[in-house]
Amino acid sequence: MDRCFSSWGSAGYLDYDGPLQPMRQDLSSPSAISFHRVGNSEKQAVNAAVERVAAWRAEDAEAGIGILCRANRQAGLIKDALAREQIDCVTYTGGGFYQTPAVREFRCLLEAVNNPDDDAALLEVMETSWGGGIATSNAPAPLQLTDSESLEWIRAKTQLVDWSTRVTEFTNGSFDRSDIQNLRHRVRLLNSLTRRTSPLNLVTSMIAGFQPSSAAAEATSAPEGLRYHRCTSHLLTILVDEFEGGSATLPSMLEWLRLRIATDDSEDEPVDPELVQGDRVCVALTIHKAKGLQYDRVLIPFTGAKFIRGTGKGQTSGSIVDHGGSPRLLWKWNPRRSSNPIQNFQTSDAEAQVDVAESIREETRLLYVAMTRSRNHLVAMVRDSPSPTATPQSWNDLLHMGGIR
Amino acid sequence: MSTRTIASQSLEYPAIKVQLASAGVDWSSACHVTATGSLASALRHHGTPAIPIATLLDLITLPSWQSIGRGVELTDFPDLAELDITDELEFAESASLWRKGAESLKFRLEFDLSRALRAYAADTLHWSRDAKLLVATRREFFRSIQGLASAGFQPHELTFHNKFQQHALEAWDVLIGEVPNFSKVRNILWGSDQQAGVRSVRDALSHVFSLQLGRDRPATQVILHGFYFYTPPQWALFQLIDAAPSLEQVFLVHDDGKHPAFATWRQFFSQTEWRIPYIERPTGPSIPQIPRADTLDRALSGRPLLPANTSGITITKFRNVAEFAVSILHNAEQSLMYAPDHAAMDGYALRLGRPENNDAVDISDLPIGTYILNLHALVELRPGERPRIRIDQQALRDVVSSGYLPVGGLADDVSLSSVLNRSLPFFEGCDQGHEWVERALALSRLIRTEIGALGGRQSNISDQQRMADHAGNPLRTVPWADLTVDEADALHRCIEALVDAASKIAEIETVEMREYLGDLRSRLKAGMDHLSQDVSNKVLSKLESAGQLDEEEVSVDEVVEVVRLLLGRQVDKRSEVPDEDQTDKVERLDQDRREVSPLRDLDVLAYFPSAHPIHLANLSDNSFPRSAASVGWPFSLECISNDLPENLRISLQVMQAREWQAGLSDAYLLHLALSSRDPAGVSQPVQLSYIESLAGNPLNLSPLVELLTSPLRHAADQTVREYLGGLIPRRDDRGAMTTKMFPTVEGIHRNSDGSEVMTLDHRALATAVVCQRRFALQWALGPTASYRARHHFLMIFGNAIRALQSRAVPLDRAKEICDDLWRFTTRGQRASSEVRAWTYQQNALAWLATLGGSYSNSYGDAYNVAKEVAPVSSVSLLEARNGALLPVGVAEEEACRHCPVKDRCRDAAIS
Repeated sequence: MDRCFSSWGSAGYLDYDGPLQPMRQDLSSPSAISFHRVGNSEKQAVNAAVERVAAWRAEDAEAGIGILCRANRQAGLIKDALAREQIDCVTYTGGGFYQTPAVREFRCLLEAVNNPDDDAALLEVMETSWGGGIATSNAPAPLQLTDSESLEWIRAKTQLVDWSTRVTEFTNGSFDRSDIQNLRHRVRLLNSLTRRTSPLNLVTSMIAGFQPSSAAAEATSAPEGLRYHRCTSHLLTILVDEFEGGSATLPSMLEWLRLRIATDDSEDEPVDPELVQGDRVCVALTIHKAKGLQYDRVLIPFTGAKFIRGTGKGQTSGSIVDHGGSPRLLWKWNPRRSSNPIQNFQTSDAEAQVDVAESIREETRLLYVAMTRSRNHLVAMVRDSPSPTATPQSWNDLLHMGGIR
Repeated sequence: MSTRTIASQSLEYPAIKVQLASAGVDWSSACHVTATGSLASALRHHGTPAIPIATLLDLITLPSWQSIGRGVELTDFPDLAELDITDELEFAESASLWRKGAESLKFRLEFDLSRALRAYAADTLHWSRDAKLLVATRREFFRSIQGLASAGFQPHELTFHNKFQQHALEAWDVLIGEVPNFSKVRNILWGSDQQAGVRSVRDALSHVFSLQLGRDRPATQVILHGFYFYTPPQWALFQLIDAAPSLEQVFLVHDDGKHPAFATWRQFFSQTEWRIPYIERPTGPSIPQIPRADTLDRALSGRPLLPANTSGITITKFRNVAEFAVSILHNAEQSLMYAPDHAAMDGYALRLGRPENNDAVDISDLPIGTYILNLHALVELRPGERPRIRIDQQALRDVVSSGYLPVGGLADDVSLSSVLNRSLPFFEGCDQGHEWVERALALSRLIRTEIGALGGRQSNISDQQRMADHAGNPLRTVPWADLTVDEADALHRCIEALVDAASKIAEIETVEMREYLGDLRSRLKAGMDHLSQDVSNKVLSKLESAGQLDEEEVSVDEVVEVVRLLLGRQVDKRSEVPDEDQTDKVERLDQDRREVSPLRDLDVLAYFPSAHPIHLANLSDNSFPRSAASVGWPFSLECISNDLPENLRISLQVMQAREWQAGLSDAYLLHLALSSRDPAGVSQPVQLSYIESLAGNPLNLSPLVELLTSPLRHAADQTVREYLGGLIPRRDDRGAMTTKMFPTVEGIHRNSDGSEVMTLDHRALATAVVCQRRFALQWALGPTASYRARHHFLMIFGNAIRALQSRAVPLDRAKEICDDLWRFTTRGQRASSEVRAWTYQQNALAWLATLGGSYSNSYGDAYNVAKEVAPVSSVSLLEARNGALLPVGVAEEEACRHCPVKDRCRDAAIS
């Protein structure tokens, strides 16, 4: 492994001054790292990975196995292939938090409490894991209602008709919404609490009082309930960071959350730490998520993907590079109906060259991270030969540079 | 007169009194000064009058501050008679006059610094980029220079490494000249007239401890407790006490001479060049220790941990903050909880564990606070120009939702928040107040005329009529046109009222602060009628901090500044140097409902046994042991010159030592927890916990605590494992989920066959062909059926012109109306939309209902229904499964692409 790193260091792709001391005895043993030859297709890499993991499991049922991928999609492929072989594997990939059920249902809650006149929002929140709490006969203690408010809550007993009934009983040109009145009354009570406490306090009181995770667990499964619980808790920490001490209002919180749900796919969903590290786990994860984690055995199945992909038809690509101290955008558009891409730079431009070199350095760093995650054994899947180019185009090329045997 | 340092392996009270007596120190006649408020409070509780050093520093410096009217006087602080009472609430009450005066002076200092900095930014830096940054971050900047000044430094003793630091140093220099109170602490602690400082110390101690000092009297001893590290201003204070005739300074040091947990004491008390004397070890009876006193020593030195070393200690892993909070809920043993970053932990504990205890309210969180803060924030202050009113959408939304904006004549059925949500796109590009007012007026006119003419929104009509009106009016496909006349008028009045209210502030030339604050107080009071009297008074007491400004004539920018200081977001209280900002316990009594205390409060355990088990939380590798940075932004330790006079050289070394020794300090606190005993001398259970995932980051156990764990947790060799000993971290699986709740949905009791619903407008019904949930949310029950995404607005423009033609509006007139209604878009965007419009007059209204139609998919089918090519009966609204409150959404990207309720639909496909 050190030979690999040293060769990348000499080529200027990695800042590497030799192994850290003390060195793990395992890394110096010949069996610590091996390279398996696979064909060029993704499918062949997946099959080889499944075969390797199955062999490891057979050797040692207690070993923690990490399968390190470049992209979320690849981790998903591995997980599915292992599942077909009845080998348990979880994925640990980036993003997706704001699209989880817990967050989307929390948006429903905010929507309703923010505007109790919105019948659609009222019914929608009642479909979620918050609904049971809002429908409960006595106001949960954490809401801290006054005596008279508690009495109002009890009086506003909530019983709703289902959609089929609402449609069937459409008469005199209108839907009957009388069943929603009591619900509206309760949600108005919730809304009115912001007059004496902060919206953040209200939110936490509702989490404690309505216990949406319990309902989620009962409606789906215990693990889903725990996931819901994790996500709600994570969302609350984000809300506290975002809004505490500032002027947090329900509309601003709702607007912020809507935007996140629609556009933010970078926030990671929190995971159960026990599922992604430790003994007996088998995790397919991206290398970005693997930083700081270690596994007894590590597999790097996909090494053939090119660092710099061509810009597909109808696509644009761009990167910002340093141009004498100020930023320059290198931009390329490959129109659907034209054979010539449009770009604002020449491949020979110094900035473009620097951009390519930086991409190689970044990919080398990632591969370095991947290769240093194993405690006992590392396997990388490689192709028979490197690309016939002067500079490395893929991890496969980097590994060949290191003189794989 | 002199200083001594006395060490003992145990400081337990009352045995320590005997040990000190053997060294010639009389506990009962001495003055007791502690490092922390918690230790002072604990000593007072056990009958020993004590004050924390932060209070002593205030006592010797604040009385000399310049003030408008009455400042503070030493006699405002309680004397020995009141200090001797063991009831902290009574003590707090007797110290309230002092506390209010001190807060008021410090508020005034912040105001004066801010005023002087803005003047410097304008006059000298001419509002350059650096000037703006300096002013924008002034609170952090003030904290940094106050820290450096109290450590004895002046700007010329620092060097800059960039232009911004240079400007910051120059600004600091100017502030020294402009704000006399800024230098008071430095002058007393580090000034050339040491005798003046000594007098201040003597006066303060004489008053608080009712001392009779004099040449012919024996020296009074001042015992200093809990200083396992100290800071430069504290060191300077020690030098003043040392120089005071008739005072003898005695440091009480917790150290047995060998245990590694006490290393930090040795670092700070074995530096002869710092003029703190070497440690004396009195020979007194040794105090028996519990076996766990040896635990950390063994762990740090790699020796096996015996069962007795780990007995009663547990290490707990919480998966997330919610599990941590639930454990607090189940805290039957009533453990005392301590944590690094305790404020955050306390927040989680209160919010998730005991929200019913969380009655702390900040003005800025209440609607009235939101209203007042936002109103002041609308006043834009530009250097050299008259203040202007600048409105942003977020501020407007917050002000309106607060409910405090006086808008007259609002009809009962008008919800301003809802109106605002629909109409905000029309105000895109508006900035100045008058632009908003003009556009609101224009919208009101358009609603009354153009939109009304084609079937405007009305209240109190049937759903059938509502849908038909809406689907027949192409202009109402955009939400700002979907307003009733009343709603549009109310919106206009609302924006006018907002601009009026903000203009009243902007027009202030000068105002007497007393008058302005009086008005502010009455508005706040009126806005807090939902709060209990206690909470309301607590919130209003914040305004008293500005008492020193009562007589001041202030300009509009200063009014805005004061309101921000009083009501606005606080500077991040997490000090760069953990625990150094120790306040007097008395000053924290009103916050004492906390669940989690600062880690440094553990110092009490060195003196007094704990009646409850101990829980140290948040012991992850990210937070424990803690690091410390002595110098705040924008400077660093490296900025301090090496060519310093003797005192400042020591000050710098103390800061460096603090940074380097921060980890050891935490090891000491951990040792105190591990060796804690109950009053009967039996070791107290200790729980050490950490949260495995915080803010999305996976965390590991602190390396310091990891040393207490079994190094071979999974090894098969039981004998080796037993020999090495150590704890195995366990999970707390009490979980957070206790109750299961579901909504109740009434069973179906059909009175009709459902055919009447098919009489609804076919263009509305058509959407159900794409997605039944869309129909329910958009048409049947939602607040508006209009499209809400910006790209839809642009798509609709060109097609709306054609649709207007289908309603017999001539083309020129149709363009004129749409140009007016889409005035916030550019001419290019409108031209592009017109060119791309692909509907004909005949099908435009049908197309607008779906925004799709030429494809052979659900949109195509829906389009055919909307166009009445396919029969309405092909729409089945009854397919929803029984018991569902709303139909299930199709959740397909293609179907959701043009859905106007995508952003509010639980089932929407998000690409």
